[in-house]
Amino acid sequence: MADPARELSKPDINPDCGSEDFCRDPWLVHVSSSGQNDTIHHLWGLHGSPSFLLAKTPVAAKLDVNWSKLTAEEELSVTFQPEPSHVFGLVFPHLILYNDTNDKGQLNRSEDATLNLNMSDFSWTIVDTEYANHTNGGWASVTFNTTAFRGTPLPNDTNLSIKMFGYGNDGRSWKIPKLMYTPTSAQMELLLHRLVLNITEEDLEMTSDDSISMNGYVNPRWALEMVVVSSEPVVHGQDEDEKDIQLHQSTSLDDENSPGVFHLDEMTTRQSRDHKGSGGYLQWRPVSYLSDEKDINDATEPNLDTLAPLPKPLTLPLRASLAYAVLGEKMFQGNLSLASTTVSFGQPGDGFYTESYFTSWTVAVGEGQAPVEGFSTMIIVVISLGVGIPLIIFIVGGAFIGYRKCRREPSLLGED
Amino acid sequence: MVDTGSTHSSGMDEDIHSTPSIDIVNGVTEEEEGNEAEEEVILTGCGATACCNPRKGPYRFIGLIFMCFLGFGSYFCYDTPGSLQDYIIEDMEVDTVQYVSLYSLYSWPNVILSFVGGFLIDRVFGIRWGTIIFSTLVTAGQFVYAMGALVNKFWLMQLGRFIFGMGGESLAVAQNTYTVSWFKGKELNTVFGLLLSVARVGSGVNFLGMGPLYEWVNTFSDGYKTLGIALLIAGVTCIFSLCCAIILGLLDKRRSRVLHMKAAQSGEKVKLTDVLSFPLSFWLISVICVTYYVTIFPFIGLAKVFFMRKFDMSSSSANTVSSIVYFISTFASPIMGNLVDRTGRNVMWVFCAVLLTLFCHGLLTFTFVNPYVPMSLMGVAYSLLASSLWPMVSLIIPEHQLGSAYGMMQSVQNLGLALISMLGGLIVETKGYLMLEMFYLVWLCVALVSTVVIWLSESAREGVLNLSISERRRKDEETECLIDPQA
Repeated sequence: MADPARELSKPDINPDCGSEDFCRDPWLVHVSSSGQNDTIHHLWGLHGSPSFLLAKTPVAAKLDVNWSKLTAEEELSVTFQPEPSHVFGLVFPHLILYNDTNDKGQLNRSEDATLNLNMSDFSWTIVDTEYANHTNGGWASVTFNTTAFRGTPLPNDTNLSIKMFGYGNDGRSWKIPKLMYTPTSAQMELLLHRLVLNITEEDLEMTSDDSISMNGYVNPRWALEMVVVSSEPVVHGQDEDEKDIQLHQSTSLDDENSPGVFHLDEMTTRQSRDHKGSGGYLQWRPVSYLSDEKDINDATEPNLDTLAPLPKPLTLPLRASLAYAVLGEKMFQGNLSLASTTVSFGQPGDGFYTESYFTSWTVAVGEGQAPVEGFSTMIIVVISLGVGIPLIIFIVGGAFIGYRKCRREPSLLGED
Repeated sequence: MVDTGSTHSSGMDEDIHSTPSIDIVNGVTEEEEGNEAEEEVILTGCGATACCNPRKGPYRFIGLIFMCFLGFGSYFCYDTPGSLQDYIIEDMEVDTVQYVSLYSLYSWPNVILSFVGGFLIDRVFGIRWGTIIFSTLVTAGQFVYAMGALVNKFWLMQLGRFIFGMGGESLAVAQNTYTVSWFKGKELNTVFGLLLSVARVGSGVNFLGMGPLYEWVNTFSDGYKTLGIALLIAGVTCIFSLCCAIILGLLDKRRSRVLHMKAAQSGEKVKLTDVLSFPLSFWLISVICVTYYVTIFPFIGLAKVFFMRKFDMSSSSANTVSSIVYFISTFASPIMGNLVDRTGRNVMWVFCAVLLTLFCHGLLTFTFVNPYVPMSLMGVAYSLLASSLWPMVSLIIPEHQLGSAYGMMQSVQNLGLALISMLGGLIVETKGYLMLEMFYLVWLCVALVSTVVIWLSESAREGVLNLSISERRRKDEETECLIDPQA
């Protein structure tokens, strides 16, 4: 059942910030998607640990940003009046370089040497904003690129790029893997472009020089630590099946939109699985293209490992994030559904990050239930014609022949 | 290698009641009668032993062995793109559209050569030299193809496949010509069955063997060089077949000399103008031929990566699944041939085969059922179709036009394969495998519709194609009575 279209606002960059220097950094980008019964607010903040959230509030809720508290990394600096009924989103505290010694693809912390980089070491800027609004929907996008790492400017072609999309109606993205979107969802396209980590005597630096061996790793790969945050209360069950946030990997018959990919993966919160219209989900195709052409022959896999509850050492990087600004200390008090996972990019035989120095990943983040994939109209039409036409010819022709035979036989008998 | 265009010379005639389509049978008989008066060639010493005496069984048996392996190299190497698809795409850095050109380039020369193959054997080269020349083309093509990989030049690989194609199909005609010459009469069908089985085994072994071969070469080499070396090693089968061709030429020369026979003729008289007088049923059969085979061979060419991606199979498992069609066909072909021989009703069997293949592709498209199941069934369906479709041509086309008829069907079949291979690659790249399968399902539906139309038209005018064997015999007797009432 399609969601009714919503009115999408223009991306508001650093609302009510003023004219200080820091107001040019992407602390907070706000896009609101107003429906009849509620409004979904997209909140995207790249300071500290980049966070991408959706907050569901009553229709006329107002966003209030306390800039002094926000820049001081204090909790609850971004609030809504009245409070949101549900908050869901992603936070990326760390970028991890690992040495895939056995070429397994997925990061295995017991086998592979790792080097954790704080995402807060990157400086970001907004390179592009797009917005289109129509009566029956619209879309908005903001592209964030890194500009510096640990204070040192990055070379032109070295960057992490995150492009966020918000939507006002149901539809399907026009970019492979063409994930479906709804008025209550956002999509994130992540690119790791020519990230060559150089360990110098003084410090770490990012460069685009591919002759450098990254930390001496022979089989270097990148992974992202990802924390899924939700304002849903924890329900205390400890079994695998009882986890609040679960990972589902399923097969998908139709690969029209992502040629060669027959899987669709999701992460859902408990309320999303209850199918009552609330909750949060992630949805993605388990494919990471290794070039702009998005050819399946040049691709690898984003491996997500089993979701674990929040490990203690993560609290510090998470306190420097938009998620903390929205959810506050409650995040660490064990009452909210949170889960931490690693997205490690690689599959056996793909030649590691150094093969193409490029990795991409697209993931949809949304409120409610994830869209259900189905066959396109063309396929249904073709099947109907393909089954229908021979059947019709057979039935009509067979009946005709049968009729003629019947007509012949009585006359033969009659001639005896 | 493309199916049974090769066996058309005697129409894969396991239906013993269709008139033999080769002049060769009559030609040889006349020769032998004429030569009774001449001196017999005296064989002495070693030449008189059973193995070296063309009059005796063991000589023909030895000849049979060489005949079987004459085509082995080309059947083995025909599917070397398919068994190495993912390696080719990666090592040569090409996309799927370029990859499928390795198949379509095989078919393109045969659009024309299907008509002239017989002519070249009969009038230009003679059977022995013709076979050696075609076998050389096959070997040369495979080596150029392998060299292209070794020096990382994809266009050279494409050229190699083109040369390979020029030799491949014509070699099959040559193989048939030898077979008919040596085994005319009752043994012919059995021998053809055997040849077909050996051909299928060759194709199947390619899928089982090339993967491990590549992996082994990969231990001491890398990238496109590995591909080149693996393909060169595969080319050894072509050299082996070339040796068979040479030896067979010698054996045949001795046989002709001792038995006072003229060199074997393919008997294919092709007159393009004949084509204009073919009945509608023939064109419908051609349509079925094209629309059916484009869902088998081009599909197998793209199947490996399909199985790897959709069913999460490893490289070797995927190749094994691809090989199942051929291996099942090795055993199913004689059984199906026998079935059609006993029951006739060719149109009904064609209908069943197309329906079964439709079901198999449907399973592959709309379910995640283990692909071994649909591929095994597809092997059965494919054998059934081959056994029932090709003989239909000899039932409705007069003998002196059969050469042109088969040539036409072959030509159209190769044209279809060439085009559909390319289209298939394009579809996979842009729209994925589901759309590719839908594409094949559409062609199968066209085949089904054509079959239904033939069925209805035969029912309406009481044609011969869907009669049982006894009904056909009765009809032949009636016709004979009409021709010669005093018989």
